[in-house]
Amino acid sequence: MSRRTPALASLFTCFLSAALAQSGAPQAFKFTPVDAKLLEEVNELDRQLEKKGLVYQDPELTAYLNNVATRMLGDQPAPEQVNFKFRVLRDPMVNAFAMPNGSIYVHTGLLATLENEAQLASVLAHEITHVTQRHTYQHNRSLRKKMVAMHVFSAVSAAGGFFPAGSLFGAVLSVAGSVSQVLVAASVFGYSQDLERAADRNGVDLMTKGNYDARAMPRTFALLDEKLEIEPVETFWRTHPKLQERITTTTQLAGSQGLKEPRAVSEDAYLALVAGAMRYNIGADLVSRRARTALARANRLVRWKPDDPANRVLLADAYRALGAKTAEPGQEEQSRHGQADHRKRLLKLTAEEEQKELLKKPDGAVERKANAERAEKEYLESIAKDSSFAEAHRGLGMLYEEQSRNADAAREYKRYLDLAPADALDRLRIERRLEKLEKSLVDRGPAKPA
Amino acid sequence: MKAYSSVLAVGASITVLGGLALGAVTNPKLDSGEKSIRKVCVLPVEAEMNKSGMKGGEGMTKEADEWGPKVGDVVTKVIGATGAEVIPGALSEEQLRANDSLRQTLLQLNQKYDSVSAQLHKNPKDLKKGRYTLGDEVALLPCAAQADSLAFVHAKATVLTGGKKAFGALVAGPSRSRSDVWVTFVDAKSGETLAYTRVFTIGDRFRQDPAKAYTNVLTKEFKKMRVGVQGAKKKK
Repeated sequence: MSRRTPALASLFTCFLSAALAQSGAPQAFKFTPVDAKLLEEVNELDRQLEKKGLVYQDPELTAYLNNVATRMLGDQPAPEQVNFKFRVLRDPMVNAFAMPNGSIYVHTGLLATLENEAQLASVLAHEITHVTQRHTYQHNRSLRKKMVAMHVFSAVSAAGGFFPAGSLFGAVLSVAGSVSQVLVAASVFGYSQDLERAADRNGVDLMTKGNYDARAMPRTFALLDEKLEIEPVETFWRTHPKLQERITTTTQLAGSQGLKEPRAVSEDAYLALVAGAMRYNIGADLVSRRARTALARANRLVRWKPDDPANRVLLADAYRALGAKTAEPGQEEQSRHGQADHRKRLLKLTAEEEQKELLKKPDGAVERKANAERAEKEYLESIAKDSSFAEAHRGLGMLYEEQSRNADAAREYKRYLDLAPADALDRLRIERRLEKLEKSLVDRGPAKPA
Repeated sequence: MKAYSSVLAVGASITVLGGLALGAVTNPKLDSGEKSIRKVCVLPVEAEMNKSGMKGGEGMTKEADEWGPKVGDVVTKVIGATGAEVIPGALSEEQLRANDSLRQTLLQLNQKYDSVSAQLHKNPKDLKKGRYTLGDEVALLPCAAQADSLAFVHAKATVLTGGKKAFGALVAGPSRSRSDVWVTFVDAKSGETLAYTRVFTIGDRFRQDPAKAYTNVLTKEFKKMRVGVQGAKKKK
């Protein structure tokens, strides 16, 4: 045997393994102590999300997510140390993430953005791939070797500071940040471009396997590009040009997978299953100073079920929360300078201060009046549909109180207290408001005849 | 040399004496007696603990879960010692587990507090202008019916590994573990922030003996914050 033979043999082995890697042939994943540590962290994160009450409990919705995923996964066995669980998280941030132990979470913010089951399947397919191809482990190993990790980790540590306008927006990330920084880094900043591309590519295959029209994937990406709010931080889903590139690539991939009869999906059927989570999310958007998003989602619900008083009330609440703000961002706000300025204001001002600033603008007062009128119309519409719907009276009372129509506000609050259940959590709050209003009415004396 | 010795002296005193405070700030309504902190509902402590090593950070959630309630106990005891009444078992773990809507309300209020505290930490003096409020949503908590104020307690600790401590000492960076506790009293009716303080400890003692670490410093701070002091009587 010549002296060259071993060298040639090893070169051949290298080529062979490279070729196998290229073809995507499965390779056994060897767990290292670093991976075991990460697995421990994510199991803990599962427990923390549950403990903090961030997991949205709706057995029907959870079963729906599981069914969509099962269609794509088929009967293939889960990889070692993976137990697939699909759950919804209470967070208006438009996001979804996968953990290497198989827990896949979809935020209520994302559910509320999607239009149908095929789009939901595209999100799950992408996330499933991160799990089956062990992307989080690879990402973790790679980050630990690089100095860049220090920068990513310090950015993640500051995650709390990203969401000071926060309320429930980013709540999940702040919990995750205290458990697993790698996961937050992956969730906010994404994996490497290669891993993301692999997840998109395999995601399209999984969708086809589940008989879903893969053209829903580029449409999902397009939906994620919605820019109603200036977010305190841009998640990787929304960063250009990555998003544009992903839309183009997945459109091409989906085009080549043409199914003869893909599973029929409709917005109505989808909304019937996610409406509860969507309503929750509108409330969360409202407490997170995201009134524009809340308005857009509530409008969708009203278009879907115009006779449902709850939908009307949410729409009215959103108009009321807009105050002096426009329903859509103006050109100035969308400009680069405008976005930076708005982001700064969001971090600096309280909600009340922001409204005061808006009122100083020439159109501020006009906008506030118009939004208040729209809100009143929707509350009254809701009461017309069902006069015993307590929340409509509460919202109307609040609107009138803001307008200093104290007698009208007191009347609506009384009506609310009559209709609301005895153990309603906000009973004390409304009783206190009513007491204050009645005192002011007594102090002012009898109302003058109109 | 003199400056160096003073730094060493301060460092040594923190280690020996326990916590230090970054200064209490109070709302003028509290100073004037219009508002008072006499009946307090202490919310479950939001505690976070991280380990910082040479290869980045990692969470210590189990340790934080044990540490948080201990900090809560110290705060409750110190409030009680001022003469103020603490509403017992207002938001126990069992209650929250049994009542999901209460748990959601608490989550929402804590998040609201986070959004306000981000600005409060930056400009604590603006509390004097009455700039920070959580709104009357605070009344959604059942204990707000009996209390005149709610106490939000947040605690955060960074535990350094041996390697990180050695590295910190070499490059004059942080070379000791640190814990911070923020206590904010909020009016139980209006949600207005009444008083705020931040205390901290340097070293690892906060984990072994939270009472020793925080009792003295919190006692001093709560005195400045007029906790337990009777407000002015309302004119009839």
